[in-house]
Amino acid sequence: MRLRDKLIIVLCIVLAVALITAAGMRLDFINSQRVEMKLISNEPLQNAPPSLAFATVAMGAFRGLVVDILWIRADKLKEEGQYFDARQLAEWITVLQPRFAQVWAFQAWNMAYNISVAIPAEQPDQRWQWVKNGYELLRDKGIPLNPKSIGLYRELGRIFQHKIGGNSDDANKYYKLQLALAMEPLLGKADNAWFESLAKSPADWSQIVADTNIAPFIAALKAADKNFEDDSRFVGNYLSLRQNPSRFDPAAFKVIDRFRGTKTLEKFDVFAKAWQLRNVWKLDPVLMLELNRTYGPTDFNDPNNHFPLDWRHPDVHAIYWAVQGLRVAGKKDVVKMGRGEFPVDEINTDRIVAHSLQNLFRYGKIFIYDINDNASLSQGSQAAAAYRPTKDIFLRPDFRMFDPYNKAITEIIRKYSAGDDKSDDSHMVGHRNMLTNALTMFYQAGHRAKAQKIYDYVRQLYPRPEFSDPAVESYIIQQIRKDLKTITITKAMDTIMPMLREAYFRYALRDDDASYAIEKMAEDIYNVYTKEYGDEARLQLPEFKIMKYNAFMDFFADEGYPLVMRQNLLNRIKIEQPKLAEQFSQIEQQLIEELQRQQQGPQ
Amino acid sequence: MRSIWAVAVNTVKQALRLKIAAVFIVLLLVLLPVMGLKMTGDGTLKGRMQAFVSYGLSLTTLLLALLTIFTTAYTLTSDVKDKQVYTVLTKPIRRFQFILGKLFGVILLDAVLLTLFAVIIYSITISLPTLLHADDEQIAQVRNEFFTARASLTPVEPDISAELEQAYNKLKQNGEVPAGVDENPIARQNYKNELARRIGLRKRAAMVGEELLWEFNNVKPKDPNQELFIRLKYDVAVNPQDLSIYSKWVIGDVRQLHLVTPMETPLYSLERKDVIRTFHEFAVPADAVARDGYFALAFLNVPLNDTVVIFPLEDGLELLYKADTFTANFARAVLLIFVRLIFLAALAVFAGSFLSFPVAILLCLSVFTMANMSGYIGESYHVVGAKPSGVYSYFMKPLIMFLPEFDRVSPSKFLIPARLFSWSSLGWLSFTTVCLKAVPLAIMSLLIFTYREIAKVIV
Repeated sequence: MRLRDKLIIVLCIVLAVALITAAGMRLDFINSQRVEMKLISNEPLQNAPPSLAFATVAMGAFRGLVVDILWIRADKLKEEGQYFDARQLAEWITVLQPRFAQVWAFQAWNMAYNISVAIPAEQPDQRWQWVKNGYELLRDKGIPLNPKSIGLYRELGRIFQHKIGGNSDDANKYYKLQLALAMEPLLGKADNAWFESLAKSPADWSQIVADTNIAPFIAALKAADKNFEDDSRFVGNYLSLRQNPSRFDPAAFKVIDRFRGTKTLEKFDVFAKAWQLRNVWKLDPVLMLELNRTYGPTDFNDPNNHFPLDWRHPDVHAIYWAVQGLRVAGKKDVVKMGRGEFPVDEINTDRIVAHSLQNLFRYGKIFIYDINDNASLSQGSQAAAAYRPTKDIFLRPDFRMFDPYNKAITEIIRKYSAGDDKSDDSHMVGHRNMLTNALTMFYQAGHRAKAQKIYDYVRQLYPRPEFSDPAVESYIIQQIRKDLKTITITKAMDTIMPMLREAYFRYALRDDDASYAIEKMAEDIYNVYTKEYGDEARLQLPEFKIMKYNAFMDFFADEGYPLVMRQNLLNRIKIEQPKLAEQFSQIEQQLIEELQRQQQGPQ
Repeated sequence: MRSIWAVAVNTVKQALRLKIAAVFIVLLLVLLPVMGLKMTGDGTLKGRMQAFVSYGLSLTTLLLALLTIFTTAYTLTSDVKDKQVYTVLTKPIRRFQFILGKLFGVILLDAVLLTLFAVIIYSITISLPTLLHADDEQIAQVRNEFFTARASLTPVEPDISAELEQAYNKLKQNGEVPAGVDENPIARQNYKNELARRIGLRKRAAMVGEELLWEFNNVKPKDPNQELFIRLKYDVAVNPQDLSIYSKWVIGDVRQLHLVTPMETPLYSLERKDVIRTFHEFAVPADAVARDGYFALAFLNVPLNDTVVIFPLEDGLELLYKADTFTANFARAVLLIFVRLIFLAALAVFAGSFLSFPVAILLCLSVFTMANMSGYIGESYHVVGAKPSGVYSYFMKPLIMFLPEFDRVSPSKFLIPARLFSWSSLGWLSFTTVCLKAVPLAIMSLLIFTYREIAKVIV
């Protein structure tokens, strides 16, 4: 070997040693940064399917590189507005980084929030697919692999509460409707007894097969239709058979008919629904029952009695996942630690519970209407031709949710105030605002005694100058006066008219007490305003009965409400309130005559 | 020529004897049909087809590229290493013929294999709707949004040169041009470019209540009964609460509004709400295009928005219309892949002409990787510092410029969104990749191999 070659070799060795030493010196820093950024997990991967275990081990050091390439591709396609591969990429990325909770949260959020809205709101079915992809990724894969990560429960709860339950998305009503329709068949009679039977129902297929009463039914169905031969698909096919018999061999439905009314079918039906809740929706009926007992709407006659929560409602799902997260991954030793020691994710998960209970108070009652009329479709748009809704959903307050909310928020405030003397300001401000809103809503709805009770409670808990008068009526009037002080005539109209429309809406829903109370409240505001500004002709409102008529006409002409509902209202008024119908008829006649006079001009 | 052909045929035989070639071919023959049936995309038929074509073509390109690099480098270097070349070069065959034979042999093999795999991918793609029992709605969607090739037009850009000069002179007079910029031609040009960008953005921004008119010329849809597609993306000065922009659009030949004569083509009006900073597409009937190919879009920033709406310069607004078929587009995509393989074959011949097999492979794979990441590398250097380092300016930049930019124009980029990849674009890319990059490499390899010492003469 020549001297030159030897020199090159020595130089290369020196260079290699120098570089390796330099790289080695950076290792400690890099490792500490990895720990700080939570990029490593020392806990072994549990419950991982073989493919996942293989993917995380087989690639060795190249795993990071592959993950980077997938992230770059996902980001690039997103920038280009291409989403065909987003779901697949999200799955691959999360498979390669299964213990990195933020990755799951990001991918789920990306699909539910970003990708969904890239699809026109006129195609809500396609948007819904992406929202579903988002929550399913967390619920079915992310959480089982990271059961101790409270942030994932919070994120899942947030998708249910904010994305589906909120109104920030134009297609939010479609999401609510789809969730409600999907849950409805599994909820049976939806009373306490039903949820108890769900909770008691066997969790495993082997247990139900071993039941000598049920076995003949299962055998009969298997013999009737080949679709039932596969045990893993038996329950899904059974539920499908009950809803769409035409999809199966007629012999299968004959088996159902044969067992109809028997304990066997009743028991299997409960098992099937509980099985579907457990395995498809990942909802444990035992926890559902417990949540019903803790947060379910209270009975006004017996405050200790709770009705079941409405599991069709997205906020109920949000509560379930938040509570589940707090139980599995929350810090339990509350007494020993100060409020500052709770992680932000846990505080926010508790907020999900509190806000969802608030939402249930404000919009907890679900009404689903069939739409048979084409009038509710927007005319001339292509999208309307592509998607034709057949049902519509409306949410209205559920006053029975006040006590569960109040109990829960009190617990949360106590939790975050424990361990030190500091009060939990952020939750307390929210609580106070909610209480004042609630007492106004109760007052408006005619529950004056309850409004007074809440008012007394607010005065005691949060003493402030505006609560100085002990009578709730005075407080309400004072608030109205305060609002009306700077109010314009337009604002007054804008306040009263929607209230009157809401009153007609409640009347159409046969919620007569609320309808009456809201109308009364509108009249109170009208009277306060008229007393204040009645002398000035330019600021005078029309007669109250004319405003009522206009509100009725507004409601009747609003295609946002199903035609059936509007016709129901008209029929009810004609039958139950003939005087009002007569009054409306007279007003209509007066208006027509006035219009004719105006058209004829001054004589 | 006969000598070149003989070497080429021998190279093909040699390549087929290699196990790696057999492995790659079998892998593709198995994987492509499996992918066709298993890839789910976003769950829709269109998404499945997009995912299959994207991954199918990418996988084929990758494996054929690796096959090309390995085969070419191996056949050349092994001939030299195993001294097989002695028996060849002692025949009446010149060294350049030997090199050209190797090159054409690999290109021939690529052509055959690529045709085979392209036919498989194409056949599976067009059969997917039948195989998956797609319903009429899904079939109509893929026909409109996938099995087509849409040409893209951007609005006519206004001439801003006079305005730019005026703005620059005004800044100069006011002493607002940074010191040293006016004296240095490069700095002045950069400064003017930035100024032009700002002026351009201003012209693409609509204040609340303001209207923007986008005009297009030479719009020639194949059939007036079909649809045009408007692709847009909004940016805003202040984010609205719901991150959405409400808009009113008037679409068609708006010049008719100023005439008293009856309208010749219809004008369409629609209202929309779209999320900001995300691409959106909507269809309008193609009969809105005037006979002379004029087409306009009037956008109104409605008061509900309460913010300035901006259409980004690069991709804010495009007009897409059906201009060709999926089949023709697919054929051009395959030719594009073939052009890349020619470059890689030339590169591998170049590397094999003077390097040993492992080093040649390392060089080729590095170049291949860089060509696939050229945009990313360029952007990274651009982002890292406003003043690029000497390494970038004098080494990386020329190198990147010489490398083909595989990532900039990839087959998936136009087949997936059903964009037209024209013959002229293919021609230009072929010219730059083959004539300006592959041919010089081939010539260099000829020169190196011609003058290379194959064996020492020991007397």
